[in-house]
Amino acid sequence: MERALRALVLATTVGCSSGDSDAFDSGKDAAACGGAAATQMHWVIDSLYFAGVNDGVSNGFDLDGHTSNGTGADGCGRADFTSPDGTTGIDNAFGEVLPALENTEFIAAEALINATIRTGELMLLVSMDHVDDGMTDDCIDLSLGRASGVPMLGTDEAFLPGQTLARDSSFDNAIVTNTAVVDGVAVGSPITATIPIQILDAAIEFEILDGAVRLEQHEDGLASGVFAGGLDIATIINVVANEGVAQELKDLLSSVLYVVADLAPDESGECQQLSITFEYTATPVYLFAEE
Amino acid sequence: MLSFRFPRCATLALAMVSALACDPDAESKPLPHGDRGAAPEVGVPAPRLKRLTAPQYRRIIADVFSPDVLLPATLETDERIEGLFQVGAANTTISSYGVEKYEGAAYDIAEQVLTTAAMRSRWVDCSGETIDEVCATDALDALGQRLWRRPLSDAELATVTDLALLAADTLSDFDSGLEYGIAALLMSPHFLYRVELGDGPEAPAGGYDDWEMASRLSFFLWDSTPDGALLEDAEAGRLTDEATLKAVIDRMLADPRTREGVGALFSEMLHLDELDSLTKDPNVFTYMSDELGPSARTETLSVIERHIFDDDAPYPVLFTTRRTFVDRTLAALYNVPAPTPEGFGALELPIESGRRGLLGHASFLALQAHAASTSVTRRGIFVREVLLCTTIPEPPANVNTSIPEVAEDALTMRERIAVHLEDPTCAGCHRITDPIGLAFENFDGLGQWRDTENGAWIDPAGNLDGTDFVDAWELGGVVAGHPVLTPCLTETLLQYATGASVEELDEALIDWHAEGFSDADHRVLWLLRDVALSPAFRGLGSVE
Amino acid sequence: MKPPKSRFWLPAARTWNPSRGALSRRSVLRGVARGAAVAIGLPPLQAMFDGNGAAYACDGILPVRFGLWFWGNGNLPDRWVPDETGDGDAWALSEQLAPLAAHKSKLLIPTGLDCKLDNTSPHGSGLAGILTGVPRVSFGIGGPTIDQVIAQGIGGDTIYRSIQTAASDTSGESWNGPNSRNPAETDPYAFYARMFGDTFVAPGEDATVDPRLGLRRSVLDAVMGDISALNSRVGAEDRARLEQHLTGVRELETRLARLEEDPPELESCERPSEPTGDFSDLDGRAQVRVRNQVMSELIAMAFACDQTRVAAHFVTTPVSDVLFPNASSGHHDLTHNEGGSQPQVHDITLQLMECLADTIGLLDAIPEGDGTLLDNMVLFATSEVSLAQTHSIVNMPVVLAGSACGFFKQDHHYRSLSGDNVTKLLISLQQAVGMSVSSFGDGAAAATGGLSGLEA
Repeated sequence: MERALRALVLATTVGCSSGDSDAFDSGKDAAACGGAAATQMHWVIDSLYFAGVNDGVSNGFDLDGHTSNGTGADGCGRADFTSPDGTTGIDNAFGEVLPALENTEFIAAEALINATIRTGELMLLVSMDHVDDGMTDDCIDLSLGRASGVPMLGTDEAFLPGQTLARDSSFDNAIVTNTAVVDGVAVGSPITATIPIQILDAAIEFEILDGAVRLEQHEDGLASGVFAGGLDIATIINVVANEGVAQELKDLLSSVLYVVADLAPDESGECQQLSITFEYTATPVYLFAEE
Repeated sequence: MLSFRFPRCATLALAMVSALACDPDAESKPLPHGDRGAAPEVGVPAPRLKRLTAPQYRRIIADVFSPDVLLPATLETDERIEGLFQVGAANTTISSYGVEKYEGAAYDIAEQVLTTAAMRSRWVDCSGETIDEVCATDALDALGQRLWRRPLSDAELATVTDLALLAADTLSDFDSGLEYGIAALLMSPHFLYRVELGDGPEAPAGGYDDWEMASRLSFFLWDSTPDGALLEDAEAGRLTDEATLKAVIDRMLADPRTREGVGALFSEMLHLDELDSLTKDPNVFTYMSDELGPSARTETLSVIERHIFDDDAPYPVLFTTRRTFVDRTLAALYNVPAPTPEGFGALELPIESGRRGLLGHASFLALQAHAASTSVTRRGIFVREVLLCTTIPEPPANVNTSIPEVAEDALTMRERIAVHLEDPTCAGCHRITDPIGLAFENFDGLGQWRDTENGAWIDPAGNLDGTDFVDAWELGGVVAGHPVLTPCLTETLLQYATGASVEELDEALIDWHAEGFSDADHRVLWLLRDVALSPAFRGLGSVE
Repeated sequence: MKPPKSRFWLPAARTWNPSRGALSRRSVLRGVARGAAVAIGLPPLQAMFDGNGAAYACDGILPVRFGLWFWGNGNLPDRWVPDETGDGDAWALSEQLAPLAAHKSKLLIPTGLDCKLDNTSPHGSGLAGILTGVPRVSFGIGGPTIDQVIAQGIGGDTIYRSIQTAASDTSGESWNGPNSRNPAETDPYAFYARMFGDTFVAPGEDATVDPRLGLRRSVLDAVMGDISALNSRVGAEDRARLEQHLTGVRELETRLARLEEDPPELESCERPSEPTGDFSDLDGRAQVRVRNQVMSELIAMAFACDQTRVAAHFVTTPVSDVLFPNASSGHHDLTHNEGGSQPQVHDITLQLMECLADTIGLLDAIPEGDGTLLDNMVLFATSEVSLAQTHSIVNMPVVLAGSACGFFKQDHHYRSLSGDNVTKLLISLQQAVGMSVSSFGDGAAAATGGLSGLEA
């Protein structure tokens, strides 16, 4: 498994173009953001899972701004899904591949990612800045970043809410400016970020270009959400070919990925990316004041 | 028992504002010295042998030999009487097992001292290649003076020296023999007890002599044995003369060891030692960890040290200050940003934390609670007994003490223990403790904030001796302004310094010190000095 | 020889006692297995007789031993008292005594005994009544506890006059008198080191010959001289304290002298294995049962090797708030705040009785003469209250195990219908070990005569 992951690059590109997305409300005036008392709020992602597809229903976003029914050129013939709240056009092609990967090394990445979260090696931060009211504020910044340090786990092994972590300044925050939080829910797009994930001695890079993230705050202070984007298939296959990955998995990936690709059609109309959606839960944290 | 008297700053402090407001110049003002009427001529506590507490024993060994000396993890068990180990030390015995432990420790220490060059050379001025009587005598003479806090008599020195030489002959080795001499010093009652009897030929009428005063001062202020300079003061007779005594006390108060000594004092008073064995149900309290208890102690001691030594601020402000020191563990529990990734850092508690003062510390909230829940009674008793010196009678026996279980119409502790306040057999005492304890119900059994209990809103409001408060935050102010708070500290310090039980201390004397404390804006450094000058501390007065 | 080195080291600069940390380094106790001892003809031993000779001995050979086994916070009397009285099949164990079933043939259960002291101090009055028979004084216990009373009678011939242990973090409740506690050892390893460490000589081994023992005694002589000289300078209260100290030094000196004597030939005495367990809290809960087992095993061997004849063992103590397995709160808290029939308090009482069964089993597993160690002793198990919810001190919980060499009835439930003074039981216990006592106690607790109904 480690070998399979080593230097595996998952390039995730979201949004075919920044102009045609109607999935996100992000058009606020920058000058309206942030009052004198405005503060920051941070959550550290404490669990991260591949979102699956169940009966045509999937968590996620309409990444390409189209709702495909599986017949047209849009989405390369892959049908989009409907989110639990009824939004149509949800892109999550990877979710459909999941069952096929259940018995391969690849799926173990999920367990490994979560183990890495608990050791503090992978602490993704979802942050809101310029917040006047954490539940309803028509202008905030939403960002994805990383924290470092040793996480404090409770006697139940969960991340302790209210703990303080250090921001990992070696990582550039992906920021969506001037979005809103409505009833505790904030959605941000486009997110432009590279999230290098060091898992043991394997490095995975999520290159999220024009990505999307949603944060839902719960009454108990915890949060959950999704983030999604597209994986560049050529890159995956290239990495897999160069690593000592089991031939069985190589064959599977080569045969499956282009079939399910649903994003970024090239000039010939063949999709070069496949959409992937992560579901996460997150714990509210503080960050040490930066020097 | 204490009489009720309003300190000068009571009303201001009540208003929850920093009692500093009483005296804006407090910081620059020098400690006033005895510019008031003479102490009342009252009886003073009878001298009592005080056994060294385990922390004192450890500190002495660290001071006299080296902090690197390894000691057994347990020595004779210390006992609290009237809440204080120092009172226990004046009343309890050394058990058979304790004798065994002291013997074991004595040889352990002696062996380490003589086999570690740096420690040995501090006390032994010869190579040890031959059996050197003069060298043994000198070493034991010097060491004896430090350990027994007075010069050894010729006969005493001869006894330990003879033991060392006998052993050296028997074992054909000087150092092996000297071990027995050192061990004899460490096993003697003159080391294990603070022998301050006021019966020496040099003692002023009815008072303690210079050597005894050196011992009393150093244990009171440093929780350890006198250092060389203090013993020189004793030899020069400076500790029985009021003027020179004051100068020595001021020098001691400025010594960093007083910070440690005052830490020991408040640790005893606030039961902070018990934080080492803090037990909480991990299924109930997810924030519980091995670090929490020790961290909570460090927080409280840090706040007290900063308050007393660096800010020289009034004692009551300890109950309203938002300044504290936390590490990551406590910051998470308090739901505030940790000031520093490593260790402790200063923090101003935000108002919305609902938490301020010593009574907002986990050292109080977690310790005075049950393993799986809060304890209204324990928290109330702590404030009453420890901070306000009120003795709560034991509950009557043969009374059903159960409270109703959680029910639809009794979700919160306030509703459940309402029976205590209605039943006349319980109400007498529970009215004294419960309104205080209920104020802290917003803090769970570990000290973490909660708005609700079993889904029902917590009502922390109450009244303390005539003053209403809406929550624990306000109660901190009410405690700070309580007329008995500062006389109670006065009484506690007098007990701590003398080992006397309450009934051995004269009320008029406590009142006299408490008034002075009030006039000095309740600065603890002032009170420490005043107690060190007290007739009760110096034994100046007829023995009761 | 120097005194055994402590195995728990702390730099002097450390002020706080990290006993939990010290404990946690060790792992599980090694096997309980002891192998069946072969009974050979027992030589009569000097060490086993005191000045009064056979009066203290079973069959003229084996000494009678006394154990106090104490737990805090009482029982639930309605589920404790057996329905029937009498011998053997005539009576059955109650619900709360059921964990002792394997040992029923060696049990004597007296019920209906009352503490006669004024119940002015919850948990305090009952403790005074059941252990001292003397009213409390202002700071607590007013007189010596029964283990010390008995140690005065039969403790003089052994290396240790008495020993005190605990299975939870407590100083125990063994007292010489007011303000004079004999602190209990809570650490199994430290207890092992004390009983069976460097200074222990097993049967068949040669006594220690070391000039350093004599030197240590010389040092103790000097210490005694200092104490005596100091004695003349202090008031009455301090004199009593110094006397106690002097007693301790004298006992230590005697102990050192004994190290130079050959050990007695005792059929079941052997050096036990060193406890190596991790006895620190597990999941935030004290490991009371395993600590009780380890301590009990060492106590049993200390008896078997005649290191002592009197032991006081405190599984828990009054007002103990130990968090037991399966309990939602501390024991004491539950006794007051659990409603209904108090199922959790009941469960904790059962856990405590399982601990008691462990101890009895270990004592009964050591062969001595024609029977076992348990037959040659009496284990007095009790608590400071009956129903803790109301701090009741009537119908006190008592289990006696072992006949004390035939003194006590076995497999018997004795029911006092008149609420006999529990001090009478304290008299019976003294008589059982051979002390000629006819009256005992003070104030309202004073009593004359033992409980003849308990005698075989």
